[in-house]
Amino acid sequence: MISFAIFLPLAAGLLILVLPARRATLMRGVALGAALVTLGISALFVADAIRAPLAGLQYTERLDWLPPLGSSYAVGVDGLSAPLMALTALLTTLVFIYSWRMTVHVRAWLFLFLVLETGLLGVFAIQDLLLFYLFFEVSLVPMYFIIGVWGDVSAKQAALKFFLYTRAGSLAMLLGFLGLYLGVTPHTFDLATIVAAQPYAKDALAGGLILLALLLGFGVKLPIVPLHSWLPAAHVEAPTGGSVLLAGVLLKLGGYGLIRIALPALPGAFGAWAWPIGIVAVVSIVYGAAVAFAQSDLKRMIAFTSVNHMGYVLLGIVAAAAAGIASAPGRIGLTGATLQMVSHGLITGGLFFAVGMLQDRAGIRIIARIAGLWSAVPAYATLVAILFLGSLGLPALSGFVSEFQVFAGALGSVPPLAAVGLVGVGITTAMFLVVLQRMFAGTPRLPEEGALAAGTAHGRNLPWVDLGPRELLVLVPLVGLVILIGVLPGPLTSAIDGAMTLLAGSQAGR
Amino acid sequence: MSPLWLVPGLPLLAAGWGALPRARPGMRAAGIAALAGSLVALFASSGQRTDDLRWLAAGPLGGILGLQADPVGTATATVVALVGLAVLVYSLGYVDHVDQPRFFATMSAFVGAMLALVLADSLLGIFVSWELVGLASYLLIGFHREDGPAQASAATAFLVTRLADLAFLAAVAIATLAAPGGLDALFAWSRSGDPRAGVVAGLILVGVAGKSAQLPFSAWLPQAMRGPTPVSALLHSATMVAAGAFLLVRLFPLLAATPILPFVVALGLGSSLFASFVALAQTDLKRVLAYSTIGQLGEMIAAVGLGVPAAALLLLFAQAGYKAALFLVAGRLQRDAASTEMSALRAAAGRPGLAQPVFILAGAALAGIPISIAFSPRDAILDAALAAGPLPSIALLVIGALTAAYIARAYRLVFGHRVAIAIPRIADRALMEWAAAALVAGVVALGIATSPLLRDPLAAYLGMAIGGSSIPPRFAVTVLGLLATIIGASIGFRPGPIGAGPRLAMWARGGFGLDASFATAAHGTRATITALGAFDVRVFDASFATAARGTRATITALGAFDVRVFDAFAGRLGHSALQLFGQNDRVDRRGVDAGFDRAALLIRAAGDRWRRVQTGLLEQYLVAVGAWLAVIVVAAGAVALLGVRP
Repeated sequence: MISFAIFLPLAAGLLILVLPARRATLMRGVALGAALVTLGISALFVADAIRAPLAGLQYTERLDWLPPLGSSYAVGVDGLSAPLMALTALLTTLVFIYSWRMTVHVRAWLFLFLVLETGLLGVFAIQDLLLFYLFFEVSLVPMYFIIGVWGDVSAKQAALKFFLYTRAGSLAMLLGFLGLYLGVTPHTFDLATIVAAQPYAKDALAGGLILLALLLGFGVKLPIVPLHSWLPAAHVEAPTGGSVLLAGVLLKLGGYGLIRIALPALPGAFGAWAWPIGIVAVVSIVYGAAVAFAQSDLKRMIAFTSVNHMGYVLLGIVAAAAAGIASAPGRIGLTGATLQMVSHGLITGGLFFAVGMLQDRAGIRIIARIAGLWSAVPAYATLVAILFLGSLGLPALSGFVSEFQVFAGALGSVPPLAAVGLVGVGITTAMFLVVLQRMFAGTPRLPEEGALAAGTAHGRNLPWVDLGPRELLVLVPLVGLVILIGVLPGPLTSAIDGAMTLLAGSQAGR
Repeated sequence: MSPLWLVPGLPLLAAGWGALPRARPGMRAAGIAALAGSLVALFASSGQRTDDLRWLAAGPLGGILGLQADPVGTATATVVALVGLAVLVYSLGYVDHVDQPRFFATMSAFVGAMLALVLADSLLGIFVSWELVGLASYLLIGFHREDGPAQASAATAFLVTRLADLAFLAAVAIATLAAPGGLDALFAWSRSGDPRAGVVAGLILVGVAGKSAQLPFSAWLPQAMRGPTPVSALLHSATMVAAGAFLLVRLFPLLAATPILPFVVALGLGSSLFASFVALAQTDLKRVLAYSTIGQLGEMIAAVGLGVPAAALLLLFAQAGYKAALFLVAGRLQRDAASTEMSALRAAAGRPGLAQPVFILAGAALAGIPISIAFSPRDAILDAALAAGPLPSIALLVIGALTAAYIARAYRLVFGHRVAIAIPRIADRALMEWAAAALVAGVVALGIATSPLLRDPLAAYLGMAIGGSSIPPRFAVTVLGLLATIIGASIGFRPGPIGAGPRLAMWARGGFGLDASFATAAHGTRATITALGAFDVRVFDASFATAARGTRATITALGAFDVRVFDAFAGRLGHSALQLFGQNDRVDRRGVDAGFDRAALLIRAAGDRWRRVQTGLLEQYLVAVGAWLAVIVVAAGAVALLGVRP
């Protein structure tokens, strides 16, 4: 079942490669169909995790892959994986819907996104470090091409920057994995075995160094300050669909890796270094928010809010590292961090779609040059305003639930860091209010002629036409989920909390 | 399911229905009907409590959401719903017909969130509704979406209150973790002597200061006057700012268990003194009323700190009635004068209708004349202050005098010298006047409820003593309070500038520089943030470029090294080989030549390729380096693995 979900997009991608070139609509249909089936299956995974939060890994499969290396193809889903897999499948589906009319290299576009989906789903399901690395890398390459080929003016440079940063990060991560591999006798890449064995529990130096390698690897992805500089370039230059998956899912690989691998395998080292890592998290929160506020380009601004929001993820993880995964603040912090990844994926994914829609209409995304969206495009303005409010953590929207848990955990575990982190929420609030006031309020203003003539990939230059049915189909599900999780977070948080409880128990076998 | 859910539920549902796309012509009726339904549901469910919903279904962070119709909540909810109804009826006359569906939807959300707040039985529930009240007031202050200054005021209001709410958020997080469950659990925990209870109380006080526009957050409230007048009427009376004072009343058991109460008194009295002075210097009626609200809320907050929360609650009810009525009168005159400057309103007052008697009654109630529900609690607060010490007593008496002075002055400036001009009759005016009149009538009628006869039953109902140290209050206390009122009123009625010179008046009008320092702080923050943005580009982007340049330089150097060392070596080798071959004629000339030529060609081709790489884009180098590193690391890893395999 899991393998089917993981490899169906890849199979569909290969099928698209052999379809005749003129059957573009068929290609789109195949891609969308595969994404929808995958979405259905991953929704089933989420439902299962909600029904039985404490059941542990479900739908497990295991195949020997490289027995001499102690590496096997082992997959499974739980309350930590399932929501992120569903997020991946949902955002991929929406990208296909959004870019339905895209005509530039359609075949390659669809193929790359399907390969990307397979890579991402694989990362979230795999329980073996070597294959984790493999899928991690698989997800990297399509994104490089998506940014480089369909991106903006200086896309090639941005793509390269993205590639080099993440590549360096994944090499560090691989070193960390090798360290973990060597720490267990007999040597194995099997995650459950490593976690149960608790390597380096006694060796603080080696444990610290391996943790550092893992932190570098996942920190680039997350990203943390000062490893974040690839992010604005890549997000801004990437085409809308690329930005959506980049911010919506790729950043989560970092947080997921820390929760799934680094924290359970090296709780001692993580605990010992919790405060320095926590300071990095808080710096990312405040610095990310402040630099986002300083941007004049809406897309760049939203890109930087990711640094801020992923800082909350790291803060929640630090709360667990400092107080222990099994402690109350630890579980709350981890649940909050995981939910924050889901919530950020929905909100920021939606916001990047929204920026794309704005650019389709106005040709620009400079905040100061657009005004009056409330009056000009009310449906668009309402949906985007809800996403803004979700991003600044307003209650009854998903961002509040996750941030509240992160801060509750952090206040119970590392209170000074949590207090500083709250400043980030304040800055984010101010920023979104200023943007609402500048771009949404006032009388509608058309951008200058020159900007309109610049044109867009989607070839639609009619400014200030409110959302069409296809665009509504993209934004409404995201906004709806943001509200649903915000109002009724119980089912999802209990599924995640169940996974965290088992995570805490998984080290007990030592 | 308990009908209690319907109390906040009906207005919120109406708001949700109105928020759906397409205009809703029935929204006005729906809004009013929903609020009336809330009142019915409230009376039907008095004393009940709902089952608690577990918000986060599992995990150590309990977080429950539920409603309880206890006396304090029920009484406050009734006031909220009644004032809300009056303001909605008034809005039928005030708000442009095109805007009415959206206006009624947002107002319904505003009132619904406030009803949820006063009935919520957990700190988390209070916080969630608290934030929704803030959001609704943001949308309402900035109701006219094309009005730039109104949008700015709305953003300021939301931002300032939300910044203060971050402290509240921290308090909720700490308290929810320490005492999972409802308010009862919270109070029990606070009595257990956990030092965190004091921290929680202090953080909540910060949130209250923001919401109730107390010092140092007061600047947002006068600015919020940019919004439509019915919004001001509601925001200043029964919702939004009232939430802060209400929260302190609600959490009195928590506060009393911690050493926070003196700070509560200081915050309330300090803000009240400040705002009452500033109100005296205003020229715009709505700004007088705005500062008046800050002053009144300060009195309520001080009352909680002085240990008489029930008096604070009664004062809250009274001010909800008379302050809303005063705003509605201001708006009714504004409809004629198209301004809220008192000099302009004076012209409109030429045909006052019901506006003048309503203003007189409401003003008298505000000033502390014993005609309304406000009188009895004021007495009780003064009594408690006298018991607490001279400083709070003097402060309260000065506040009383100032309050009488500014409202008397406002009356004189608006109604004092009538200018008779012809004003077209507006049909909706009667609706607006009657809504205001109903509120005042309510306040005055309720005054009977706090008469000595009915005080004790009321106190028993609320479960809190209304009086201060002595019940009934000493006669001397009443006289003292009235004396302050009379002195103040006589100052206010006296024509001419008040107190010191015009410069002081100007300074006071701007809130003693507080407004300006807010703007300065905002500018400073903005400048810092811009600098950080530039820093990010300069440092991080530049360091990547530097690293890239450095890598490229290294590679070029390697290339040069290659030419110098290996090429030279190969050249020397070839040279010696040639010499060797030349010396030995027996060597098969053809074979060696051919082989050498082929090798030379290969070398040249490789050299060409390498040169192309060297002169190519920076990117190619970096990819090459990345790929090479990967190969090395993988190879090293594989070797290590194979080497140590058991």
